[in-house]
Amino acid sequence: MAKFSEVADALRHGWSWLYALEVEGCHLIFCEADVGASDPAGLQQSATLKIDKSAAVGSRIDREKGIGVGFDLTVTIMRSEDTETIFKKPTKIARLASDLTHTATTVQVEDATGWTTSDQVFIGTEFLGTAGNVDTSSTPHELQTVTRHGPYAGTPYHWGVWPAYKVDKRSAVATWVTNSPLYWRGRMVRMWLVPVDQFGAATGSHLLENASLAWAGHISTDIVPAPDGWTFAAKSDDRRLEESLAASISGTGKIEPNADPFLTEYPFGSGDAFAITLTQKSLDTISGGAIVFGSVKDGPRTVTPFEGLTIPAGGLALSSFMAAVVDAWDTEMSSVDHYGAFRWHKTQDSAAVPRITYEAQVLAKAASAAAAGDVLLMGYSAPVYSTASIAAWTVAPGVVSALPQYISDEIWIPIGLKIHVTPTSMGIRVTSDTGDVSDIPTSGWVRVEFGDREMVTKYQATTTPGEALLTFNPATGPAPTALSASVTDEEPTEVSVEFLGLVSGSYPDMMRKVITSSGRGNNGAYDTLTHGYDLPDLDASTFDEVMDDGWNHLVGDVAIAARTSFVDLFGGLMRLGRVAVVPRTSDTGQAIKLSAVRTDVYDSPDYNITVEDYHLIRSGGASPVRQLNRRLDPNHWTIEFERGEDKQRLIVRDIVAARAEGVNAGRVTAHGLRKEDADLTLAAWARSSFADRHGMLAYELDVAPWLDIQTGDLINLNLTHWALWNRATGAQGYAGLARVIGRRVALATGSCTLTVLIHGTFKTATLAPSMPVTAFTGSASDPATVTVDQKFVAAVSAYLTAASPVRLYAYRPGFEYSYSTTLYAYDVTEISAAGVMTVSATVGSFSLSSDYHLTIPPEAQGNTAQALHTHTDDGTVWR
Amino acid sequence: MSITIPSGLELTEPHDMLGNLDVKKDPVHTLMRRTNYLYATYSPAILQACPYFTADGSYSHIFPVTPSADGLRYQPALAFSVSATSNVSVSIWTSEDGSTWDAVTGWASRSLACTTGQINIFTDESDFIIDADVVAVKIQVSHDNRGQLQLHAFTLYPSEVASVSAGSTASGFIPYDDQWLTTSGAPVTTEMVNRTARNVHAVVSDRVQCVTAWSMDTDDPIRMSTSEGAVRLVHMGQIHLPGNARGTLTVKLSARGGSGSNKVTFSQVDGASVTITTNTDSASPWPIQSGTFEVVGEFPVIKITALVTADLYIHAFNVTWVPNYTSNDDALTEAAPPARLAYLGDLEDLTMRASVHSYAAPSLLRAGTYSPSLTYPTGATGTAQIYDSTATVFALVRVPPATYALRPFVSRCSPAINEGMATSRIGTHPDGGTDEQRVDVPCTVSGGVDMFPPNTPVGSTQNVSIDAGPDAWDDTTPNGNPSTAPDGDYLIQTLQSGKPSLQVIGTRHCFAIGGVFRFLDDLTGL
Repeated sequence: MAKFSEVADALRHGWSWLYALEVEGCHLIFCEADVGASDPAGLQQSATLKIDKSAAVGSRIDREKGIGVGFDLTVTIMRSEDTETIFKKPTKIARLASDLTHTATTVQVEDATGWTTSDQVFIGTEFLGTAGNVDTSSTPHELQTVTRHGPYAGTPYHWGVWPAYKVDKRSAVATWVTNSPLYWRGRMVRMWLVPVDQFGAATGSHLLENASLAWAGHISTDIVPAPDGWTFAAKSDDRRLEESLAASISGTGKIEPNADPFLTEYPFGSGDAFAITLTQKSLDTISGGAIVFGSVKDGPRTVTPFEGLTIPAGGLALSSFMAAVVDAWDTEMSSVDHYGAFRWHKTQDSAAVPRITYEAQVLAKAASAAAAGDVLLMGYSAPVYSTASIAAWTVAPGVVSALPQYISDEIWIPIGLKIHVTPTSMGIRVTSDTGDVSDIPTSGWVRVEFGDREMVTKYQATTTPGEALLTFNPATGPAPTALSASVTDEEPTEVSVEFLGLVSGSYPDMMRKVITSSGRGNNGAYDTLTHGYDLPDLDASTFDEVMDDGWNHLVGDVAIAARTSFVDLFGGLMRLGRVAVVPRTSDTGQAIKLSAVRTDVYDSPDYNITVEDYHLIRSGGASPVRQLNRRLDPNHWTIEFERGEDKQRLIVRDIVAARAEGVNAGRVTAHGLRKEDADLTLAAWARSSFADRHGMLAYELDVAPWLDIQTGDLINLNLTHWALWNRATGAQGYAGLARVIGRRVALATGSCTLTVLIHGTFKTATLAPSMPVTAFTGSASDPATVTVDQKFVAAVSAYLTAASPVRLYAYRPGFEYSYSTTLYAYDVTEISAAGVMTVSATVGSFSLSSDYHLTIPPEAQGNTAQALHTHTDDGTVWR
Repeated sequence: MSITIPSGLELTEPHDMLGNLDVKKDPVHTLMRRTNYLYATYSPAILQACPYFTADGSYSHIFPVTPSADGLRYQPALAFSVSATSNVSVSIWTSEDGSTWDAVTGWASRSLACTTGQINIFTDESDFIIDADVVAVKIQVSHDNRGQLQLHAFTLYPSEVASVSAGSTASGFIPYDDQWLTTSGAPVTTEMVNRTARNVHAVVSDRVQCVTAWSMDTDDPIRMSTSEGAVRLVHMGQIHLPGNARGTLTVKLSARGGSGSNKVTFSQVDGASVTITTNTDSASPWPIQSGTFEVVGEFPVIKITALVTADLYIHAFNVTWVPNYTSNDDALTEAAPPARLAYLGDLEDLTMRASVHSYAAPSLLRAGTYSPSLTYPTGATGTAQIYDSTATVFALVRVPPATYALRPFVSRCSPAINEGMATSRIGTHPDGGTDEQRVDVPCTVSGGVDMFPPNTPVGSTQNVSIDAGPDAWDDTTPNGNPSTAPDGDYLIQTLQSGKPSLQVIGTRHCFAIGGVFRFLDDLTGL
């Protein structure tokens, strides 16, 4: 494997390159030419790839969206026997009979008649391998022992290896099991850059051994005919982040103003004939408890609704409680003439008090044995109970109801047992529009639309066959009267609900979750959601590196509605925080991973490469250096906080700039945050952007392709081109640091165009590193080597390039700072993922330990590389 | 070397962190010094309680505590009333295992002169060190002249630190040396940013704060028997946890009784809970048990109930909170990130938030039983005074800096629903005798006078309500004369100071008092 720059570097020595395109779930690898190389394992070369001369690949950061904007790739596949075979309709198609997990090696289909053990098996975008056995005697039929290529683990990256998917038989895409690819849109593609030597041959044991991954994305169009073949376009992975997440589902529901609160404690009390005794939820069952009803005609009957009633963890739903009473009643009274059905009758206390009362009523049936004046029903005692959700449980003492005379019609008799429920525990009974109640998450955010009203709130769901009951936390809403203007309606209001996707936690974590989550849980540590982009190639560590400090203070609760993308959710904060997500090639050139990068420019010794005048190339007659009109940073920010129904606004403005220049407004949405939790952090971010209007200039540079530069890199420019203007000195040319915010490569010519930001009037530098000593050799007062974290190696190496040995100040945080204890290092080496410095001399008296840190000395004692860090009064600025 | 503790909270101006800001000594210097100040002055109460009392001449209380890892000095504050003017003998011990007790310096036995007919408050007696491994504090009080006394309040909080030694403390705090950034051309490092943030975490997370605590006389605790019902309400009250979105409360409980079946549950109403099965050991002292539960929101209602299946003795509990907006992780993880103004803004936010907005307002369960042998003054007009009731109890509440008022939350329970609407009365009382301020909180839901919850079963004969005092602000000078004092419909004024203070609050017609602090927006001039 090689990096793009290494393959390109060979151009200077008479080599050339060709492109090879790999498509997910396809055993063919499409090449521009047959250069006599062996096939990579699992792939078969097909020299049918044609790339348009004008095609370019690469990415440019859109600083307002917080992502790279990659260029689309359009290719043509020429007609051949092989390509005709894969693009034509499959000859065998079977319908999936059951859901297929991503680890299953048996595919159940409705009818496998005609399938043989030599058949290749495809489903959706996945190639499952060859069926090891076909069983048509089972029900349903089975294609057995297929060899799944996945699960794709991201590393080690390998050609021919793709994810194995979890397939729901309800999917229109994946319903069909075929013996060749059926669909193409959405398949991942990789385009490899294959070096070809001076003799026109590929090197290595197979085609891709020395190749570099030049581009990765997804097919975004259908396969369409073209002269002598077919053509399709593919979209780079960063562009996927602009597409909506399929994170939400809809449902239809009815408001339950009576709600169904969970009883976490139970009424207590004692009485004469009427006793209810329940124990705490910590017990597994409720013991004891009885309702005794008396009748002159039939004598007392005892109803014991709570015996053996199991209390689930978390409490008992009120509906279950009431149902238990009804069931017990029915059981006990089934043989008694004077008692009919039992019901809980819903009433409202008053319009002013939004409280629902359930009143227990029984149906007194006419019976020949009863006579006028019989007292049919009696109840006693008065258990009283109160919590925040159940206001009171009352039973009027004494005889609560009596029939004065014989009745001939059925009549509902209140027996004096009431449950009062406050509407803080309103609920919604919902059926899923997918037809499967299990699609409704057990908790999360829901958008409820009824009439002309709408609300977004958190819920918890309890599911029963066919429907789910959503209940809401009284502490967070909805407000008692939010759901319904009237709680007296016997027919509840019908509502439409949308169950929103939910992601919580720190923003770097949420971003990583949304990017990688697959619903399978095997795309790395952040694949925890049921909804995400399923993009496995992510450089997770870069999010920790560049999203530090203030990002760590932001903990959000983000609801993901339909038609909402990664950019919608996080683009605003990334814009303010000056970071972006872009595709970057790994150090080995084997993978292209979505990575977080900074988008502003500052001085640092840890730059990637120096671009000199001789690296500039002239392409198509244009000047190799072109100044761009940079979009002016806002002087008036509106930050809209949106967390559920909470919506607040923060305005941060530079009033003087607005007066002088006119208002240049910027607006971002901070999803998942409340203003009180994040206003200071985001205000600081917004204010810091006011400085950018004097701080940066933008240029495009055409450079040689063999420079190892990627989008997001910090590079050093040492150019004298007339188009460059050093704003600080007024001189022609520019010598200093630049941030690469875009890079595109013309595929045909290999010319590389960079978009860079350079310093303007003011210059920001990097904070000085402070390197904790993790180990040392030699004596504590005269160490021979000192070990620090690997992340400091680049900076120390830069110091040593400027001057060797390099002087470093050793100090113990919290102790005296006299700058008198220094050591000199003349070498730094990466050993076992750490940086080991060799010490040439020490100054001052100290006893080195793990409490010590190393940093750069005061400015006068440092070298030119160390001067690229910040010192007090050194002319650099906080920005 | 110069580790300086600023004399006051050093503030920055908005323009100190705007624009293309030249890298100079400040504002980093000020932000780092602010953590030195925080270390010296951050002092939420480790314990604030109104112990249960009966008419007696001597009491002994044990409280579970979680002291600082740094072995700080703690200042006790006490409030007494006595039946006869006399000295009261007070002894304070600490224990590292709950059984062996060591007298603290200055309190082997200390005589405090108390006068009958008034509340006697002691807030600046000798402070003492509480070692990091101490698990409990014991206090014994006795009337020296065979009279009766009541210990209304016992509060413990860290004393202000006079100086900080070089190097890291056990809590993880690392002081800032002024010499660092005053040197010409000094490097401004990532460690400075990280240290400032981590120092805030070290101090705030090390000094746990009591949100509710309570204790019964160790020699004569109340027995909860099964005859009155299986489940008892022990406490229910609303607290204020500034800025809390989702946090954790830590429970420490000393109780015994039952055969492994008695349980005490600490919970947030409509939220999470932890249930502790009490010890069966009959020997005293009883082991301290602990647990945690999640608490959501800034104003949770805390509820403590006991499931009594055999005789249960709740000896003491202490529920504590630590704000969790800070992290011990490095704020900056990149080797050399750019000098971003946002870092300064974040440090400003963190250090100011810790200094001012990190103190919880507790809900203090007060004793309701009153010894009639004690007499309180009735004041010039008698009934207008807050302590005209035989049920007035005084609490000593730790108040954060830059606080101008407290809006009280009162907890009440009634023997029956909808009985007479009694008004709770809350008031400040700095030194006795005069009703300085008064806030009336009418019953709004279920009414009733205060009833001591632990001895009352939940459900059949009891209803609980929590009501907030008025949210109006009247900044007229508190009037010492009740006859001309405002009518009691305003917030309780607190000392407006740059440092934490102690507020004496009298309560009547309620069983618990909590509240929410009102913070000053403008801190200049404090």
